[in-house]
Amino acid sequence: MRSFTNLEPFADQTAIYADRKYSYSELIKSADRIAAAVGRRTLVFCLCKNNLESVAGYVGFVRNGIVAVLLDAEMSPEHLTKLIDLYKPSHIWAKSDHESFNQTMNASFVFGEYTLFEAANPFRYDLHEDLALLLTTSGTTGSPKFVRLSYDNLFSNADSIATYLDIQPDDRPITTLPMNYSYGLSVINSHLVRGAGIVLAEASIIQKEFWELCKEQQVTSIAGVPFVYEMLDRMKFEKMELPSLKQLTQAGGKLQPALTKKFAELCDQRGIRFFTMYGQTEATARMSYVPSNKSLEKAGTIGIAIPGGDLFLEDENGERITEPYVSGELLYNGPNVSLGYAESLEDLLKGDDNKGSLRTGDVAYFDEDGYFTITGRLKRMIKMFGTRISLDELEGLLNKHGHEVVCAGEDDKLFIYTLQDDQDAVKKLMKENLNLRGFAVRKLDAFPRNPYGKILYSELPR
Amino acid sequence: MNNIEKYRNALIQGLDLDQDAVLEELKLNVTKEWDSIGHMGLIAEIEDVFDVEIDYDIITEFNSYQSGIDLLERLGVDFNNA
Repeated sequence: MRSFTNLEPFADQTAIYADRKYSYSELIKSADRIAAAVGRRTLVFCLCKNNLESVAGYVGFVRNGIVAVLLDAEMSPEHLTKLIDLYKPSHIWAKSDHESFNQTMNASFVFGEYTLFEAANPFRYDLHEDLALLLTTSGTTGSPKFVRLSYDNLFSNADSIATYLDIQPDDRPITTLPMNYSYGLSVINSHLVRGAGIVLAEASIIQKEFWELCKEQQVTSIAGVPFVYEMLDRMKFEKMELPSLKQLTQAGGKLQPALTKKFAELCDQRGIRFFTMYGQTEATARMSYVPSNKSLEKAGTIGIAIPGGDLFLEDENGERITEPYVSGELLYNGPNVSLGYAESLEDLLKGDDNKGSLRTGDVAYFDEDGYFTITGRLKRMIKMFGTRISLDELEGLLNKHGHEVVCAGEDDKLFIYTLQDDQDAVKKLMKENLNLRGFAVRKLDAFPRNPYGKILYSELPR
Repeated sequence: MNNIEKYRNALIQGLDLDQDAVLEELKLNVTKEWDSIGHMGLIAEIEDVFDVEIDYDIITEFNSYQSGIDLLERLGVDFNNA
């Protein structure tokens, strides 16, 4: 199994396409220089954009045993400050012009447009020896809860993905997802361990520059959450000329079955391999996939377990379900199951809580061929444009800001119910603080409740 | 309402902007509300308001206040007629 510590055999191949091509040996050299400036095993916040600086920092930290927290560079300053107070990173890898870091920290190393900021009184850490990386569970609510990933988690999942996608050194994916998001990161990891070259795009797929870059760099593979496929559909993907494109992958939530079918058919006609995949950050990234030659036949399913993993169902009594078409909670065993969560600095010393086994919280059944279909969730979770949101967490957050609200909804449809005349304030808070859109705020006279006072979410008006 | 007013309204509705936003300064991927999610809402709003079908070229070229006007003129929307 290849990890970032043995990328050397790829030295002369192209690793990154950014303002120019960067070979693996150049990437390794830059990565190691950034890590050398940190100089010890410690905790670093990496404020990510899809640029060379972020990727080089990430690779350097992982190669050199420095534990990185990958965060969105656009995260609100308020949330970032909270995380810094809680986790006390000794270093922050961020854009050089970052105002508050320049005032409060020491700039110790510069690479490209990024600077390594060091805390004035760096905290001395005890970090568990297996801990490699921390990822957030939710992109927007600013939750301090991180998923703890080990080196084995990262590279067993990367190897498994590279195997079932059959990634080759001449493959060229383009970034469509943030690298601090587990799906986006898995695209980077699975290609680097196979010596492929990654095209870094800061433009998004609705911009001309993105498609020009695709053509210019002869991109072979595009990854997307459901929203990306809805946009591709709007842009009439069937009419777009992308002769170099060989592969499309879809994960990060359930795509409407009609669209899955449409893309499976289109890809089939054009010789593009189309993969629907399923996973969670708690399993590093991927747990299942639909092999591309089954994409039409098995459209709407999440497929079968990835190589090295095991997917199965349990009923309410904890018994393993052996009959097809019987629903139960979906469980996964595999080497990519995270160590556990961290909610505070002390948790960074913890070892393997999950022991390779994950309760996904999703409810599913399998068909006679062993292909799984998700039918619902145990917990109140929805996805908004690919970002997972806990409705309970969101309620808590709005309550904390003085809004008495109840949240409900399904993927890409979020409803917030309030008893006061505070719709505008709630909207503003959601937009500015959480960068969330596509929701509706409704005023109610009372929340529907059962005789015991429990809120009846199913009876809320839509 | 003339077409400029309709267009300005569509920007505010489509991107969910404050009423006092300076529309002339809007920029795709710079203005916070105008990211890819906002963009698709805006495109849908403009298709409704002007009863036009917006294709790939326009979706990918529309990135500012003025470019939206230019692109809509290409589709036959007249902005000079008050």
